[in-house]
Amino acid sequence: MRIPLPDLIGSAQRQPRPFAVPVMILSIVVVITLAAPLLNLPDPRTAVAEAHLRPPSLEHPFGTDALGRDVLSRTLWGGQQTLLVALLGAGIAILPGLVLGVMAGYNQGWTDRLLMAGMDILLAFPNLLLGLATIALIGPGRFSIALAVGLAGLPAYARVARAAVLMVRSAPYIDAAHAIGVPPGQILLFHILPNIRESLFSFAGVSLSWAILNGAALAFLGFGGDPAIPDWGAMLNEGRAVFRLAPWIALPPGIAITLTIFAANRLADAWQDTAGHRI
Amino acid sequence: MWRFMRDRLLTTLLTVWGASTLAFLVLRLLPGDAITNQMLQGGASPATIAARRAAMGLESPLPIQYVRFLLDLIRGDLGYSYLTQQPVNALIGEQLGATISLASAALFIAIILGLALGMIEALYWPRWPGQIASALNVLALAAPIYWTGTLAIYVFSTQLSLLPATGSGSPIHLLLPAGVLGFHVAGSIARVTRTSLRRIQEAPFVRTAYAKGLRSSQILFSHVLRASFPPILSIIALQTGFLLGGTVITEMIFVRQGIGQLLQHAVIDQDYPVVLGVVVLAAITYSVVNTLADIGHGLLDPRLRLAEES
Amino acid sequence: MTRLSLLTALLAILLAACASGTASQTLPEPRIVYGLTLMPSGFDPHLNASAELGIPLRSVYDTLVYRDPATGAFVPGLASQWEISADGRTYTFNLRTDVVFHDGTPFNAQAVAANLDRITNPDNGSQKARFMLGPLTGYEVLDDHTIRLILSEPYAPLLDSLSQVYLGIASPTQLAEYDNATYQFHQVGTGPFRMVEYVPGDRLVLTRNPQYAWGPSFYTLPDNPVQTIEFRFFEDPPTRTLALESGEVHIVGEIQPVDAQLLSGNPEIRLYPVPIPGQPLQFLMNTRRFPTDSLTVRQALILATNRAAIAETIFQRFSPIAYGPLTAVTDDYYPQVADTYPYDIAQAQALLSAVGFTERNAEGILMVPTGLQSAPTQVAAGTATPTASSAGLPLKLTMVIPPWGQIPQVAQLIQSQWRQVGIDVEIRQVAGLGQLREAAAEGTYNLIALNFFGRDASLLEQFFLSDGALNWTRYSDVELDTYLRDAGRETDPARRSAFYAAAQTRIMEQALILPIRDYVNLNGATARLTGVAFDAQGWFPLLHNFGWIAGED
Repeated sequence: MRIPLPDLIGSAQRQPRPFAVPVMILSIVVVITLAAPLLNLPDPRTAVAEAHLRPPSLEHPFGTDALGRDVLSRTLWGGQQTLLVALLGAGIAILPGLVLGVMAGYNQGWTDRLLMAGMDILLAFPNLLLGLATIALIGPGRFSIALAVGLAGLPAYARVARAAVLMVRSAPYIDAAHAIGVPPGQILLFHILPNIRESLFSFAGVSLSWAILNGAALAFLGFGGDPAIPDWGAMLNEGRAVFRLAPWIALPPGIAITLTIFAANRLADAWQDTAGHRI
Repeated sequence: MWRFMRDRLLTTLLTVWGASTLAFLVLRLLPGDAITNQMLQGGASPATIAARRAAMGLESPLPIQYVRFLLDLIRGDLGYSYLTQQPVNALIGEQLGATISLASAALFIAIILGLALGMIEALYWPRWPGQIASALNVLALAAPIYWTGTLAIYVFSTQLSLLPATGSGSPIHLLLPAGVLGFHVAGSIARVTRTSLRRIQEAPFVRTAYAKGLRSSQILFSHVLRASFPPILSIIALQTGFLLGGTVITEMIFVRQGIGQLLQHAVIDQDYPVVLGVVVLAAITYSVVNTLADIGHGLLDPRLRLAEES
Repeated sequence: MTRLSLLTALLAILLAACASGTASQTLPEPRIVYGLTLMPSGFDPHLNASAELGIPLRSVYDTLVYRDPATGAFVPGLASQWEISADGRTYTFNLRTDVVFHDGTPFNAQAVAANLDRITNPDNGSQKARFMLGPLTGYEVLDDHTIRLILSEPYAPLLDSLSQVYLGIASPTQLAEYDNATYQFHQVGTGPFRMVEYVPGDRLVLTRNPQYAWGPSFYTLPDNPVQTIEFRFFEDPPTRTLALESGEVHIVGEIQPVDAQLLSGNPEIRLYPVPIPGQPLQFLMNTRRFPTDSLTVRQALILATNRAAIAETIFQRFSPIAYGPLTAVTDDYYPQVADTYPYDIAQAQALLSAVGFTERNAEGILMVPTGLQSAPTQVAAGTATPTASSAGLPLKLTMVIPPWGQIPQVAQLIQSQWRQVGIDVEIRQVAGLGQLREAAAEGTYNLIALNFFGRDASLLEQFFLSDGALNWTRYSDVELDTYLRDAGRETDPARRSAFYAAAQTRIMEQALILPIRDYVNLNGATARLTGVAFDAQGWFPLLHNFGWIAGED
């Protein structure tokens, strides 16, 4: 089957994607996970040995895991942990990353080189080592993971911000602004930042997914702290060990992660589409 | 060009020095080390352990150890593994080939897949090819390697007997691990490709090109892609770095040798000279990849080149 | 120009990477892949300590003596006979005269001497082998085929040590030719297999030694002997089962117990559960930290643990329940410890109330009483003395665990079980042995999981002597020290057994450990592999006996 290449301008000018869908999904995910304490669910940590690996039933709508814990309860409670670590990690990556990246891209020269060398130093640090170091310094647990994830993502965000600034920096309207004597701070705030907004939002969406996945990877490698505290990444890994005997264990956290990442990305898309439309 | 090379060399040296110094300090701050652990496991007394550590120069004051480390580093000597007493250079050398094969194959797959998914989604959304590309993209972003890896082994190796899952004998052995790792990396590339592409589609020169009567495909391949490439190049450069993290889990699941395994064991066994060696290697890799990306930026965007030269 | 040369360099590296590793392609069939479950950092048995290295190397080296896996008795190996002096301080070995190393070097007393020199030289930093020789002070070469080992005091575990791969006899020619860093790549012994190559992180390849004719009594050559064995590193447990099913690995250890269900229905695969001598999966209880400083609390914790449920849920009934500090297949295991602590929640609760834990909070967790006074009858183990910070708070124990061997699952199940008697547990999972040791040194744990393997009960010394390197219970007791020290020096088997019985009883009376299950290595192998058997230490296969049923493929 041959699909004709669409009109490039036409495809660019179609309706922006709606905010409603991703906002709705994210709200549902957040509300449900936050509501976990109110839902009268079994304790997510209570293992009932006799009831392990039970398929979904009325008593356990999502079945039980290898230790006989309620998968529904663990999925909801686990959401709180996962989202918290991801938001913290993404926040640690995005805020300083943005500032450093924009500074580097705008100033160029030695500021740029030094800042980027600093970022390279951080990037050159293997994730694993960041995990180990944060755990050794502030103890195992979700904050260590969030910090490690954030530090790992920070240089990436800085690099993307810098590249975006570089793209618009040499545009004629910036030159023009310089020529008519607009102060650099204003150029940055009113001329450069608005024009790179979509790249930044887009990458923030990616950062959130990264934070979820990097956290999961660190937990997989044994840096997770208390294994009893539920978390989607850890649940996926527990489910992996028995995925042929008990596929129901990995499915709910898997769907939850996919939905969250889908929504985060769509939200970024929607931002970007409105930004594109505005021009 | 000269100036560019000189600056790049300087930043590379700065990165390597900074990363290794930071790593050196962090590792010395961490309690414990491989020698002590292994000897304790063997039942050695504290006195024996202290003697052994002293013989390896670990009881000297930190600044002296640091200067010694730097001098060795300048000579290209990364020291010796605490555990096997082999030169770290040799340990890394043994594993480097396997990781380069895996990482470059994965990157190749990721670039092709990422560009394709990103372009299809940018051009065809909201029609079905765009929807499918979008769904695959989300899956690539959302699925941890340990899941896709195990699932891929189960489906392609255990059930269908199509591909070998483990080992590193031939290029065929690369397909599954590189595919899984590449799919994982493709998600980010696809996203940036789509974003960048759509941004450029709206640029006036595309309209001009249409006005001149060029066909869509001509415009796409000769103008739009070229103009939207800088951020894509940046993300590819970035992902090259992140591949190292991905190889740790990929190598473990697919039973492959490589730098990822070396690093993981060195970190857990606290074999710090090896960890330091991998950090130095990573710093060099980043610098080289970023240099290439910057050269690429210059080649793709004449405006940047002009700005540099003026 | 720059781009071009860079590209060329990259291409060259890629090609080099693809061309590597063909040294072992032409080795004789049948050839199998053996899955190791860990990647040891070093493969030199004299210098490194990993148990995994013995899986291939047990069959590269011979040892002076062997232990019959069926009876545990010492049988001749490279030594055709031996004599222990009456004072237990000299061991005289008569060596076989017909043995040749893989490199053609003849085996003799000088070869043994060269090995002892290497192991005992402190500059070589032996991590395990040196310590297995105990109080060895020297040796005397009496003639070409007689050597005498001299000890400063009697050391009963010596024969067991000499039967292990860590004291395997290597070719003195190779030892002289290579240094400590390189010998592991060029290992030469006298065993039934010779080492072809070791590529770190990737593979270790052995091929049969056709000259081998001096094996111990339990080595038997099968009908169609396996000629070549490639060892590879299957560190991810789910991959082990998948690769076994797809035929990419022919035998692999430490199959996940849950996968046994999947594999037991497969006619092409056979399971070989092998009980491992040594310590069981156990938690050492910190006797110097509230509230496990109280004997009563420690006893209550054991009573509150439903070990049968753990064995059934996590280990799918492949593991026997453990009751004491040694597994049932270890020498001098004392079966009577099994009666000490049955699963009894009511009793556990009664004990906790007896030391003052009576109030519960809304979640059912016991509150630490403010004015807790210990009963005067409590023994040297110390008394429950809450720190100022814990009084009036819910009772919470800290448990430090490594990530391996299903220990995290066990810890989580225990956490749930103890909550029923009103005890909360915080689990701290660390990344590896080093991190575990650091946590132990910090001392802020109530329970910590660690256990070692070995057939000889002397491994208890490290853990339970007052000054033992791994005395993580922090228990100090003259009585227990005496039992363990006397047992180490005692050469009469019956009296030695009695000392160890007393030590095991004492350890459980004092509730120093929470034993969970005896280790069982769940091996899986293709049904075409015959003669699958393991040595007296449990972990190490008798590769000599491995045969292959030829089939269509």
